[in-house]
Amino acid sequence: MTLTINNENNVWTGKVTGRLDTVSAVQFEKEMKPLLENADKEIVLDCQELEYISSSGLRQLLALRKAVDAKGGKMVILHINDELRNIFTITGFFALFDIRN
Amino acid sequence: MDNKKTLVLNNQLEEIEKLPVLLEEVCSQWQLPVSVEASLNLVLEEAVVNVIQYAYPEGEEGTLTIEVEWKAEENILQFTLSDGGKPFDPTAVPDADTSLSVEERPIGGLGIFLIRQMMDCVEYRYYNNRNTLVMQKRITTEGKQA
Repeated sequence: MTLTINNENNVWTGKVTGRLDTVSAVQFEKEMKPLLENADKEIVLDCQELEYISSSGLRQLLALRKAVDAKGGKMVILHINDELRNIFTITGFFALFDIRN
Repeated sequence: MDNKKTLVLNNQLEEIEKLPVLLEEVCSQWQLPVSVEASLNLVLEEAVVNVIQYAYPEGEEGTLTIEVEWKAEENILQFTLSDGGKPFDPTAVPDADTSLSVEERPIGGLGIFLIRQMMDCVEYRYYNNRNTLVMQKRITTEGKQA
């Protein structure tokens, strides 16, 4: 898993690649701190190259979503694959996020 | 043809890295569609992480055994997880409420819910001092009706 964060015109984009499993979710939690700190702004999570996610990864996304809500920012999730779409649907996460292609 | 595979893991989180490898072998050996790999990986990870994190007291070494069986006549792939940790029935945990809003939604409690949703049958037993979780998935292989 890699998370690369960019700030352009106050839009904070995190690009996630690889596998977000129980082990890498710990790393993700640490590395997403800049996104949490800027949760009052616009957060974009680009999941084009995210291949896999388990419940630990989902927990991190929910934590970020909650922070954005609490601080009054915005959050968009981009380009999730079919498998992830299925998991988001089953867990009800689809309704919790602004998911775009 | 051999229709069973066994993998023994230690109760360390890094062990989950072995699961995608196991599933790749399983799917190629029994010619199962690659499309099921990711959801089976998810199910196994949730079940295995549960055991690694909660079955044994902190700092104590333990193992868990995963047995995979392909029942070709029934088109059923069966996983049997067993461990010698404290008794815990994951099937007794209530389902996550997926209709809650962001504020209400608890962080966590999704693992077992996902297992139930992805698998066709999930059964727990405790005997001979071992937790045993049996999970079955019906898989339609090419040219065969499930």
